[in-house]
Amino acid sequence: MEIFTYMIQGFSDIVQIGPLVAIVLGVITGVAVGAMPGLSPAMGVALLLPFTFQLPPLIGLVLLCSVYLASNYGGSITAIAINTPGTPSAVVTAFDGYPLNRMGKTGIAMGHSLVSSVVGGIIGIIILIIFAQPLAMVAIQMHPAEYFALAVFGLTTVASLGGDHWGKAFLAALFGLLITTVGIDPIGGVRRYTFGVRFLFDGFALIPALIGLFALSELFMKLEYDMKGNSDVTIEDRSANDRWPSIKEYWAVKRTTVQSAVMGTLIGC
Amino acid sequence: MPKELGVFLNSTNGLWTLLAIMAVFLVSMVPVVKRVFGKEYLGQSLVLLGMLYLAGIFFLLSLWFRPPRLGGVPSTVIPRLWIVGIVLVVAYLFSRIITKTEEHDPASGDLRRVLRFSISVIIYLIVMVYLGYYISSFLYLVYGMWSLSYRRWPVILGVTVVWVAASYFVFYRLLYVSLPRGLLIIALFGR
Repeated sequence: MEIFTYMIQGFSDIVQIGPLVAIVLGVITGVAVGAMPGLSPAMGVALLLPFTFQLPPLIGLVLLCSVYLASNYGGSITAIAINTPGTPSAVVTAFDGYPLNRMGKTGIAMGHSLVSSVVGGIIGIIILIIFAQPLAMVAIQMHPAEYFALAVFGLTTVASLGGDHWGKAFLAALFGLLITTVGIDPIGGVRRYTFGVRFLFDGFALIPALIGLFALSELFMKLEYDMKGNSDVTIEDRSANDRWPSIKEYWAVKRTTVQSAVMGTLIGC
Repeated sequence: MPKELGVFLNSTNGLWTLLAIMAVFLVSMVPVVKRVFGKEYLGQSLVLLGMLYLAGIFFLLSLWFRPPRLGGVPSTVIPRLWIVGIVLVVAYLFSRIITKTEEHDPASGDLRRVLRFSISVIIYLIVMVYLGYYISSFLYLVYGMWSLSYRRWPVILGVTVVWVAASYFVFYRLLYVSLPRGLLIIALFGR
């Protein structure tokens, strides 16, 4: 029960002008940072860290946490708008959000993304607070064999995402795994496929790969198929009724939202 | 395998050589693919052949990896594991093409615009080395927006200028992150 005492004390510390202003500024900054492809949440926190040196510890911590949490959501804005996730966690948002955008339902996509992020974050934090200790006991039982099994599970998930084209999805996953071997071997220290290029010693970074995969591919598609409609790809008419989702629509997907939040927390931990 | 060959292939010149060989290989396979698999599978076949070529190159280069000094798993194991998987999946996909059970390539649009834009990206990276980030980004953004059929010049110039100015203020003034200045600019105006 001590944990609840500390939580109440923490809430009372936050509900003051200084921390609340820090939260607002942190959220605005975090959303902007997350929306920019190339800046990850961790990078956003690292870039803003020097600004917190002059701040009281509580406000600095609140600011950085707000930036981190908000930037995880901010990535979904560009994922929905231009099919370019701003953060790695927003990759899957682009799968459904961008098609909704192309149907003229950008507001609906953004609204559901926002509320889902908020609900997922709250549920994740609650689960973390309550189950952090037992989860830590489970986590230290994970050994290399379990990590390998998880990796194989991830690969099969990638293949299943391909649907009927599972072979091509699997091929893409294997090729991605092959090019991640570029760089210095973390176990043996052997330089693999670096070709004497210093920048390849650490391998390929994730963010540039994501920008190349999503942003450039979308750009190439726009270039290949004339934007004015003289091609096989048609641009759907924008709906005149694009709007933010209603409370009823949010309530209709409550089960999916909560289920996804719990699943995401379990996977993340 | 000769050690000198390994040293050459693992150098920067070796990288360019391998890329050039890949380009020649793929271009030379176009008429072969059209005759064997048909024009409707040209794109997919070239991609699969490219994957096979890359898998072969990665395997070849792994022959010169230094063995572990104290025993244990060599550094070649993981790359070769993925190479075997790639070869098997490529063989499966080729079997689908041969048996005509695979979908045809999607209808292509204007590939010349894509090629022009790809070349512009490469030129942008080269120009950045000499003219720096700000000038090269200005030129690249103008060309990029124009090639995407945008013709309102006040908006093109406005977006470009605002982006370059914002990059300067946010990265250089606010965060003290230096962006490339360009060899030519440094030579003319100093650091």
